[in-house]
Amino acid sequence: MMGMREYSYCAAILSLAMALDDKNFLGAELPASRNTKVTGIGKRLSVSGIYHPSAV
Amino acid sequence: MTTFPSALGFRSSKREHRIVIIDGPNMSNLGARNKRVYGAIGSLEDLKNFCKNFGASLGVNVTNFSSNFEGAILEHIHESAKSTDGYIINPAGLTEGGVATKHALTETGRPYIEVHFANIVAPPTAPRGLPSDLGIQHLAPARQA
Repeated sequence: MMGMREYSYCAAILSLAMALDDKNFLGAELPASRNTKVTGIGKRLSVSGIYHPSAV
Repeated sequence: MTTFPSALGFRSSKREHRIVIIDGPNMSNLGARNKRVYGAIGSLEDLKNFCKNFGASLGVNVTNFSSNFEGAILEHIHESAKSTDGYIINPAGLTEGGVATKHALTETGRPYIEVHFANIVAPPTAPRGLPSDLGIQHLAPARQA
């Protein structure tokens, strides 16, 4: 996000918060598929390897 | 000081996410920059308060960090990684380089979003302060057709 001065930050804060809330996105524990590698690096990572707060 | 009404309606959980906002080199000079490009925000402190208040309206815990030194930014990323849910970074003076910062953020395993005050890809003939993709520019050729 750029070119919107301080409002660029608002967009980033809002989208990041909503994405972390989303149980099918950054806050997700998606079921592993044959194309999804389970990283197993601690409990803080989802099956896709992306950190999500609900796994803490 | 800008205040915001509650925006909790946008949220689908009640978790207080911990978001760190990092402002890179030269952002400490925000108040002295060209106001036509960078707007009326008077200082970096004003910007930090603006973000904190906006975060509070969303139920998000926003903490800010700024430095003119990339090493300090790297150390803050390393130290905060375990207690942070996501990062927002305005690399500012590190935009063209800042490879180490990019690596540090990636290695946290947390999501991060890059922001910029100005339109950093604007051509030299266009004002940097204007966003590039509001759609208005795309309408012009359509009207002519």
